[in-house]
Amino acid sequence: MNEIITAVLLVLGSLFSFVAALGMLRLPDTVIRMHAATKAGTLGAGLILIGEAFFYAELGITLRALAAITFLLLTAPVAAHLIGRAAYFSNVKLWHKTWIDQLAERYKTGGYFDPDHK
Amino acid sequence: MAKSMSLTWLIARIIIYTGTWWVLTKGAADSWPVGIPAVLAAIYIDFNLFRPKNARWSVVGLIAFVLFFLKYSIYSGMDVVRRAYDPRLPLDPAMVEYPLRLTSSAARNLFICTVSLLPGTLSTAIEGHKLVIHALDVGRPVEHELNRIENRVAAVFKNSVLIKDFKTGESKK
Repeated sequence: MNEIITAVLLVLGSLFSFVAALGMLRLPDTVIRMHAATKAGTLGAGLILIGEAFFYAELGITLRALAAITFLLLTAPVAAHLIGRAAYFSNVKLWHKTWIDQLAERYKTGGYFDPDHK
Repeated sequence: MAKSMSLTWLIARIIIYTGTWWVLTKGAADSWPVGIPAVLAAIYIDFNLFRPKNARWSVVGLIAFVLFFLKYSIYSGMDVVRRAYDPRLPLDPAMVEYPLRLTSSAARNLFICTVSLLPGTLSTAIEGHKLVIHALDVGRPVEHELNRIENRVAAVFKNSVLIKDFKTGESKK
């Protein structure tokens, strides 16, 4: 039974990690790619760690897996925020279908929101 | 350090950081020559970055928040799966500003991190009392969803951290 749960968690975890990588390739701009990296990436790694904890069923390993998940949850959104912010201030272009960009009006950076960009 | 440091705060930090070190090193006794300075450094950084502000946590609120978070982070992952696999790339992204209703910094940090991990929203910058959010799909009620997350975050803290009757465009100062 434990092995079935572990297998399911590991397969699901790898699927989400794969999707995070696929999103990196397919999605059109930096900020949208960060969505895939933070959400699917964290979930994938988290599920694999929970699977590991299930497989060994030891207190020490479970606690370490929980610590690793906590650090992932704390660091992934902060990293995504900083990358998104850096992309914004260095005028990385947004996808051409992106709607409003209220920030650009304020800073008059231009270039970031480019309707003609293909 | 002229700032006041309460004893319970200090004891809690010592327990948290030594506990973390102990777990990570599998309790190896010969790791403490590195571990003790690391714990002291962590307490020092913690004190200077997040001065003790007596943010009081509500256990019930915290458990409710964790359950809410787990449920929606799975939904969030599925959402990314759907968008990344679909050949038509179903995206309708936008940069939107969201006026923060949370007042305490601890609550704001929690909110900003949660926003990035829940479906369709990613916090990109903070402008005073406004959070700049990148939404994957503006067809969804983004503002309503953010309001709900904010209420959940506010429930984690015992002291009131939410501005009531908040009017958009009027920042608290």
